[in-house]
Amino acid sequence: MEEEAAVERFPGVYAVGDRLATRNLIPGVRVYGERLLAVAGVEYRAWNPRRSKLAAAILSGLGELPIREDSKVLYLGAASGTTASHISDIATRGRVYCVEFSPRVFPSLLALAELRHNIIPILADARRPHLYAPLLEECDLVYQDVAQPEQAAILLENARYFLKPGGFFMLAVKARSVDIAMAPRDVYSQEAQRLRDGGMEIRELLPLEPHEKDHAMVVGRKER
Amino acid sequence: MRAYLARNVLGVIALGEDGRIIDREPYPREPGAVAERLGQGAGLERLEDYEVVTEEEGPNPAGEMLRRDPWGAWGVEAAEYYRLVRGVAVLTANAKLGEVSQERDRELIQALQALQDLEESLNLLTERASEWQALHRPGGADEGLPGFVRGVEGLSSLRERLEGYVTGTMEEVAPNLAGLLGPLLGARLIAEAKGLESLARMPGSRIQVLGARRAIFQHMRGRQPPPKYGIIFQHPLIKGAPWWQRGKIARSLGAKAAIAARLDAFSGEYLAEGLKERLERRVEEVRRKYPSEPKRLRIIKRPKVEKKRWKRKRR
Repeated sequence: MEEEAAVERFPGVYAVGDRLATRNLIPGVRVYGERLLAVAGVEYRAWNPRRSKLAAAILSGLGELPIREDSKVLYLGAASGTTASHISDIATRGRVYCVEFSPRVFPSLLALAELRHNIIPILADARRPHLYAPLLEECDLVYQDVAQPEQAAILLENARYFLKPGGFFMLAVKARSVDIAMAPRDVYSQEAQRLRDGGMEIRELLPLEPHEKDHAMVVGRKER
Repeated sequence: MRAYLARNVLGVIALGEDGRIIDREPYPREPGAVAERLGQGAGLERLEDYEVVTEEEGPNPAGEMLRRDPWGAWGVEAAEYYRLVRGVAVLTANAKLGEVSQERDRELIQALQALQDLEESLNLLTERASEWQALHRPGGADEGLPGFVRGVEGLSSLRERLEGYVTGTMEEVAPNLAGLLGPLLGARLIAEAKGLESLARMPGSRIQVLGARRAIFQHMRGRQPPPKYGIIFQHPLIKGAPWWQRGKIARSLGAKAAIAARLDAFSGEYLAEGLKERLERRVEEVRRKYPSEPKRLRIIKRPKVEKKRWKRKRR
């Protein structure tokens, strides 16, 4: 295997050759069949933009990635934990609170949390934050990827409970779940406006084309 | 006076309007016990004179305090706190997963088949009873016809209970299908597909003709036009429609059933009402656009050579 250099693009996020990757928190263990890359004795996990909207956002030119080594992250709609596993690679000394409502995919999240001790798996409905509030602490980032029409409302409600003043949010907007009849670009700006009305500052609005069709990542902060 | 109440895995705490702690109660430091306490109400005895405000309607100062510093107020170390959070989260998730066991649809299929067997037997036995009735002279011993009738009545009440069981299970396992098609028809589709997940992986067009096996194979051999519906025909919107509208409605119903099955299998969200509304809108449209029977083409001479007119392309 040829040796390639790992170039740090954001704290904890690397470019290895033409691949995006994170440093594997649990060396030797794959999460979803991704490639393991060894560079100078360190193992990285390739981060596939087709499987993860966060990876797609980074490759689409994301300006800032608000995740640090000690970040507390609330992840709404973690599904089987593909993206969450990479966040867990970055926030090694932090916590990733993974909220997922579907009992079908939840077992894989439980399996993930068994090895990765910074992941807290929460089986709950993201629309009812008071039900899982006792398990949470104040967070630095709310990351949301749920396929539901009231995406902005869910984010605002969770930010109200759990996001610290000045904390960040990242919202993966799925235009097709908000309104199938509207043009995706109009959906993005409508959702961004709803967030602004809810007291959020919008910093980036990033279409994820060509990695994800009709999706965009909205990044912003809660007012202080 | 108000008291703000909130809790985390270490205990429950109450703040007064001035922000000072009125009362608190630590929980035992063991995930099982904490999960149990969090599952119950949050009551604190000393708060009888207060108007208690929990976090149900929105975050309150007590909750904000606990989330800013989850372990500080309890004199516990971070490591111990996180051990408890993980333990409680995993435990409550496993308990909920147990409730919605993955195998519930298998049991549903068995119950439905038992129901169908029972219906078949009941038809047979009722027929026998009425034939016997015609010959029966009252005033004999009890073990003859009256005993037989009582047995049949017992089976009939068993049938009703079983139907109630299937309905109840459907509402838990597949609420969207139950809402859209009715619990029994929904259950029949699941049975025909041999499971909810396999039904959810079928396209709407396949669900539309599910149960019309003979017709679909006849069609694939090139002998017949494609069937328009399978067991979905039992739905009143199709059954009650005139023949020239049935195919169109069946197509739409099949598509909506596919969406409902996917919601039930993979999401758990309840959207059956919206699906029903869209279906009814389409039915209205069909009624408006095709109000009367289409004129049949007069066939002058049936073409003889063209045997395999409906032959499907081979893949």
